[in-house]
Amino acid sequence: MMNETNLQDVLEEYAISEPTGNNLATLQQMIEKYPQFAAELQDFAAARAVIKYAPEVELNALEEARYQEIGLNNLRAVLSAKAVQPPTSLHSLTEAAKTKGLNRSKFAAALGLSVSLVQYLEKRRLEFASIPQAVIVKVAEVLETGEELVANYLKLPPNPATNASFKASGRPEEMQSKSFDEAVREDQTLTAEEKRKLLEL
Amino acid sequence: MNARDADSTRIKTLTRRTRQGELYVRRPDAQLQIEKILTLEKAQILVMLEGRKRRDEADYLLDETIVYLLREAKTENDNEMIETLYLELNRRIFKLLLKFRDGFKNNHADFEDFGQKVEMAILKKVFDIDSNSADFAQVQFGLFVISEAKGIRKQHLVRVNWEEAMFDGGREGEEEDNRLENISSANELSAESRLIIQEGLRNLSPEQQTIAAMLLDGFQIESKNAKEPTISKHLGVSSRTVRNWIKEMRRTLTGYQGEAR
Repeated sequence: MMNETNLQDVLEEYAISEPTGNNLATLQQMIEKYPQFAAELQDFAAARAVIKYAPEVELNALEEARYQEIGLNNLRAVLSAKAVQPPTSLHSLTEAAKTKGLNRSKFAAALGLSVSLVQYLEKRRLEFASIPQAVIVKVAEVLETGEELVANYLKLPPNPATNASFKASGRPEEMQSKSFDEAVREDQTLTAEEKRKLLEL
Repeated sequence: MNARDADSTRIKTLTRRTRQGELYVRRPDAQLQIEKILTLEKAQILVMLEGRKRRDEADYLLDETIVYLLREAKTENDNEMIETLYLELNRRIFKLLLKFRDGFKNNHADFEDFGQKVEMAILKKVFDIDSNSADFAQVQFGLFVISEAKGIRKQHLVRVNWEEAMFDGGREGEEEDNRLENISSANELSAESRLIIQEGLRNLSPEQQTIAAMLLDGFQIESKNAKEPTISKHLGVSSRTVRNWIKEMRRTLTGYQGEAR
């Protein structure tokens, strides 16, 4: 489950790699690289052709009024939601991941880490100075937030393990603070190759 | 957005990176327009948003510029600016989505529901000013909208309304003035065929426009390579069916004559 990719990232990767328009050779390469999104990639490319060539659609007065109403309702909903909850700091990495539709294992996969390492990050049981910058950058990217917010979260004192709510087969152990490298080496779920890559970060 | 200090006139750089580690970059026209707009007063920007300007008009605000200004207005909690900018962007989003209405088989309620969800997804990203999730929107807004739409609609965006697309596939042996014969007999469009299609696109039905757009963009009708994306594969029909549609399109276009013919 390492390095899980989501659809939007894949579509964005294709669009950014071919900024001027569809390139069917690149599209085919992308489909081979991400076969799980083959249909979506092809549809995205077809849609790109349609927005490029299909004539502009003019809205009639009725449509204009109706879509404006929808837009205003959406705008008010988003603005009022934001007013209640201004995003100034992170309270939990895994909770933030949940809002992006990622459970703990999907979040770990998106980061290229094990669930156990994510738990260390969540509980702030890794010495901040030992955490590779690449990991902080990746967390920020997956959570679509600033690197500074992630770093500030990880710098805070360790979280007590009392609210651990994930399902574990055994009794949860009290996590001691350790270095990132140490946590990687001790991880029982990572393969040797995965450990090597993480230790090189 | 009134008294402009040095900070507010400096364009904010994008921070999102490609998988290769390169920072996202705005198109030069968008970059230039944002730099210029940042030197204007709010009232001047509002004037630019008045009326319905065409894309080729000099002071037409690019979608990417509107996204940038929306985020600035959100930072400053300028609700008047937010609403004005957003209503314009909203109109453009729906105009773009309407190009895919055919896939909803004239079910307006389904289409509106879809449009509402796409808009909501866009709004959340654009207003998330602490994240770089809207960087793509500042690079290629149209494709950003499509990628959000794809995240919401699991079925194809690009499809044809079968009932409307029941073209008459007959007259196969007919000898016609056939400037578009290459379309149906070969996988590449001649320059002349391209021109004919582009000129006459507005005269085609929505179903025909979809196929024409894919042809113009270089999609093949079919391919011996099973992995290659093709029109027939995407629309889930045989290449013979696509060719029949193209013949019908040809009849429409030759009937149209074109401005220069």
